[in-house]
Parts: sequence; C-alpha cells; structure tokens
Amino acid sequence: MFFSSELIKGTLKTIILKLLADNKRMYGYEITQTVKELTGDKIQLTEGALYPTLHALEAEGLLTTETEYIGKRVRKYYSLSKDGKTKTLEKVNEFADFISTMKFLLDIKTKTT
Amino acid sequence: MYNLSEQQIEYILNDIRRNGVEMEDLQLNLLDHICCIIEKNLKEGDDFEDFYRKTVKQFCKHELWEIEEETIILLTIKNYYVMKKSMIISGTISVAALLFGSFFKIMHWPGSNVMLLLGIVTLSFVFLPLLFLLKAKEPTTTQSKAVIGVGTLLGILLCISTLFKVMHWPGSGILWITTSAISIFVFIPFYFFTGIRKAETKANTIVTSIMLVGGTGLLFTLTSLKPIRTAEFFNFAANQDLVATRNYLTIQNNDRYNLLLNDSIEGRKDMKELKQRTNDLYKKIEKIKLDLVNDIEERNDVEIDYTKLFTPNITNYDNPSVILFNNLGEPSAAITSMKNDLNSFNAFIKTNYNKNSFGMINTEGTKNVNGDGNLIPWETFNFDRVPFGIVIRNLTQIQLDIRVVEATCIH
Repeated sequence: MFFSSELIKGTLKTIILKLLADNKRMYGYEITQTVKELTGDKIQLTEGALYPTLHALEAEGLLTTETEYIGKRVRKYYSLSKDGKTKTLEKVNEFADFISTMKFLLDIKTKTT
Repeated sequence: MYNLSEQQIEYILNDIRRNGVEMEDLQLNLLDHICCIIEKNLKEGDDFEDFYRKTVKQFCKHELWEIEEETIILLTIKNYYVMKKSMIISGTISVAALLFGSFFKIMHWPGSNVMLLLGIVTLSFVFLPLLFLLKAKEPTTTQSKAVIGVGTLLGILLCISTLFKVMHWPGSGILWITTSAISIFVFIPFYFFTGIRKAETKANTIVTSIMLVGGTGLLFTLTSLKPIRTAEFFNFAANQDLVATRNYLTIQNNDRYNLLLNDSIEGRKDMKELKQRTNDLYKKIEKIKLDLVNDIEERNDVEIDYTKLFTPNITNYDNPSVILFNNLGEPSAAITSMKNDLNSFNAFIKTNYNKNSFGMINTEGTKNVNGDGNLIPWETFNFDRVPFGIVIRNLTQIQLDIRVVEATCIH
C-alpha cells in the first residue's frame, strides 16, 4: 500500500527539507527515488507535487540552487540555505509534536467508540 | 542504462514546451527528471516514444501544464503572505502617524503636519491598494470585486481630501464635493443593489447603506455647504482692513503736513519732529513685520505683500514666539526697542500736544480676566504664544494707532 496524496501534501515541505538536511545537495529525481527507497515504496512523491514545492521553497529563500550540465541538459541541485536549516528544525519538531498529538487524539477516539 | 540521443532530448524538451510549461526553470527540471527515469528504466530496443508517454502520464492528473499552474499558485500564496504582512505594517504605521499627528496638531507642537502627511499618504497609497488587491484575490463575483474597487477609490479620495483640507492646499473644496458625489451617486447605490439581491447580506446591506448615506451627508454639510472660511480667514481679513485704514490715514496725514508745513507761518519745529518721529516709528514696526514674514515664510522680500500673507503659517503659534522671545521668555531687542520708542513717543505727545492717556498709544499690560486677574505684560499679550497672523495684525494695529494719534495732533 502507499499513502494518499492528501496525507503527503501537508508533509511534503518537511520531507524535502529533512532530506536536504541529511544529504547536502540533491536534484529532483534523486529526491523521489530516495524517498521511495527509504519508505519501502510507501511514499511515492509525484512530480506534479514535488516541483511546485521545490520552486516555492526556493522563492521563500529556504533553498539555494546550483546548476550542472549533464551532457546537453541541465541539472538543478537543491541545498538548504541558512534560513532553510533553521526552518527544517522547526518543521521537523512541529511534525513530531503533531504525530504524538494525533496518536493521543486518535487513541482516545478508538476508546470511546 | 539507456543512452538518450540529442534528438530524443530535444524531442522531450519540445514536448514539455508544447504541453504549456512556460517557466524555463521548470522545463529544465522536468527534462532532467524525465531523462533520468528513461535512462534508468528503458531497455535497449524498447519503444522510446511509447515509454515517454507512459512516464509523463504519471506525473500529474491530466496534462503537464498543471505542474506549472500549481507552481504559480504556490508562488502567489507566498506573495499573499508578503502582501498581508506589508498591509498590516503599513496600516499600523499610518494609524500611529495619524494619532500622533492629530495629537501634535491639537497641542500646536512642531512636526504634526509631517506626521499627518505620512499617515495619510501611507494609508491611501499603500494600505488601501494592498487591501483592495488582497480582497480582490478572494473568490467572489466580479460585481463584488467592482464594489470593493470603487470603495477603495473612495477611501483614497477621502484621505486625500482630508489632507488637502488640513494642509490648506487649494482645491480641497472641489475634492470634497467630488468625494461626496461619488459616494452618494456611485458607490452607495452600487453597494446597495449588489448586496440587497442576496438573502444572506440583505439586512446588513440596508443598515450599512443607511449609515453610509448618513455619514456622507454629515461630511457634506460639514465641509461643503459651509463656506470654507475659518477664524484664520477672518483674522486675515481684519488685518487687511487695518492695513487699508492705516494706508489711508498715512496719505491724509501727509497731505495735512504738506499744507501746514508749506505755510511755514510759525516755527513748526514740533510738527517737523512729530512727522519725523511718527514716520520713524511706523517704518521700524514695518521692518519688524517684514523680518518676521521673511523669517517664517522663508522669503527675501524687501516689502510686505499683504495679499500673500494668507498661508498655512498664519495659525502657527511657535515661530513668532521663537523669533520675538528668547528661551527665558524675555522679549527680543526689537520688541523692547519698539516699546521704548512707543513710550518716548507718548512722552513727546504729552509734552507738546497736551494729550491725556486716551490720546496715546497703549503700552500697558492687560488684565487676565480668565486667570488670576494679574496683569499680562504688553509684550506677552500681543506677541508671545500668539498665532503669526495675529502678531502681524497687532503690529498693524499699533501702526494705525500711531497714525491716529498723529492725526489728532495735526488736525
């Protein structure tokens, strides 16, 4: 099974930021493949969601980019900016808190029903 | 690993472009991405085009341009937050500037005009347009957007009319009338008929429309029906009248001198002295006024043009005091010297023309009727913490008094 796009949508930024924090610099395809491998195919990022988010993060100043020529085509590498590093910590902590809250919330619900 | 030929890469890039992806950055990202997938998964001998189609199909729901659209939406949302932040910041700045500006204005402290200008300019040219853009972005009907647009325009006009009024700039009357007319004949009907059609906004629309009509009506009565003539204007007019009478008496007295002195019947020595003294004193006071006008209006005139005195400075309390008094509140040399000359003029009149105190220039203090009943010194009463326009008027009054005393002596 793999997770619905609704679930992934809210966490996509956090996933990308955390991956870049661990891997210094990555390009789009590499990000999708790494996520796929790490999650055992459970999370598959679609290109339609990944690239808009990457561009938005870049516009927010959280990512810096460098381009390299691969033969005739250009590859764009993304890495975290200074702001991006602090934001990553914030986002990861926020999400960890969210997970524990959800766990708590849903446990109660299962008990009452 | 599959080896992509240059033609194949060109083919993919062209296809991306043909599918409506216009951002170059995004084109290159997608190209590299698709190439990676093909290089990794396509086996030699497989059909390139067929594999390419299937790959791209997984990217998004329908077509490639959706990725671009999504990117633009995300980027504008980012803009949205920046705009909202700027709106709040500009709103705070203008409210603070307006509050402090009005307070300073009431207290007659310096800097109020700069603050009011800053407040109104920020409000009408930053805050209101941003508010409009943000409101227009919300998913509403075109008609509601038009209402918001006209409302914003009206708000800006209202701010500018107020600014013109406060600054005494010409054209504020026309601006007020235009603003009220747009409000009554365009905005309110438009707002009313848009809102009344929807059941959920009907009640609110009626109440707000009534309040808007009432508000506009009040503003109109306050500003347009009453001619824009204030206390400053009447004071200005009073000064003009004094100047006219003063000039008339000066001519009359001069004619009288010509008549009397040309006769040279008696030794009119005292009369020559009277003419000399009055003219000296008259010129001395005119010089004090001229220096004051040049100083406050930042001019370099050699003569006062009384028709050009009606400026915003006419209500200024501070500048005359700063020029005519020192830090300790003591009158300047010019004022003291003028008072001494007036007293010596009085003494001269008393000796030579046998006048009582009613026929002389008043240099006594004035009883403070509202306060402790003590005497307010003559200098303070006439010139300290007195608006510029009144200081000029008081000086003209003294000139006129001198001419009147002179007239009673030679007629």
